Amino acid sequence: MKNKKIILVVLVVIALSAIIGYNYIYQDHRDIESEKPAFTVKATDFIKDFQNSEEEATAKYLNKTIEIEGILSSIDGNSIVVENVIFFALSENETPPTPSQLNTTIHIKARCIGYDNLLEEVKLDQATLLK
Amino acid sequence: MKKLMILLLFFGFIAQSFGQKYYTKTGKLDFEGSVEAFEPVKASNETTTAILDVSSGKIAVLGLVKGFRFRNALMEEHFNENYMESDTYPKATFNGVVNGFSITEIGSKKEYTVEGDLTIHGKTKKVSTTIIIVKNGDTIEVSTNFSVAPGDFDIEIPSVVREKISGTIKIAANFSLVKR
Repeated sequence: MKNKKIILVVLVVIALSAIIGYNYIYQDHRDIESEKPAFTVKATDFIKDFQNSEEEATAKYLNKTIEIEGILSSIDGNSIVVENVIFFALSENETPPTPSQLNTTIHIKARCIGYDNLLEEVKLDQATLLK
Repeated sequence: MKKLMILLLFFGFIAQSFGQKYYTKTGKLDFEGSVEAFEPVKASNETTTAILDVSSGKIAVLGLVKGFRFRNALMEEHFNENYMESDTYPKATFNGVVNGFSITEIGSKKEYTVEGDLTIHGKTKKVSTTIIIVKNGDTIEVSTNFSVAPGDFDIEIPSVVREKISGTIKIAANFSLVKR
């Protein structure tokens, strides 16, 4: 009887650690769309930070979820550009804005992946448009 | 007057051929360091910037390390935190020259060699590889495959996972460049 109990406890422990281990190894990706933004900024202020000091701005914004407000300058397939110098790769299931939204103010949430010094643009991915 | 015209034409011609650049912001970089029988170690980056100066054959590529997406979230985390240390080294770059490049020759598929500096993890190494270039209407398609060793870029792979990650990492680049 006692033996059976021990075996049962051991089995439960093994099962639990297997579940925890599995969930750790196969954990979900971050969901930028549902994350609370670490910063809510105007596009012009955001880009100014990078122009002032790329290093400081990178340390501040890299890998963070950011909500940005700015004027939509161009749409190219699944990516958009705001204020001419902020590049967003839209999230996979996101519908791109319509051409009628060009030159209007839009709100976007995305994750900052860094500064592109070749084109002098900031890049963000997993972007979703906010209503 | 005639001389001035010729001079103007000449400079106009220079200005046109000089600094003619083709570029992309959404170039694709894939890397794979899988070992058979283990979970695939691979990721792709679809936000790579590449610029080709068609007058000189100079090419510049910049991939943001955080932009590499894995299927497995934990693998992506380890890639960024333990191997690439992307908070400290957010960029991977290549600066080089396509040997003997001429825009008039790329109407059909043409193979060139490209040489230059590859910088990953803050460490720069000279590399040389073949590159295929073809002009397709208004776009220039550029593609290449090459291998790198993590050790060359001071990326240490701990012994616990050494069996699961290949010693040579295959990198494939595919860019569709348009006129800037």
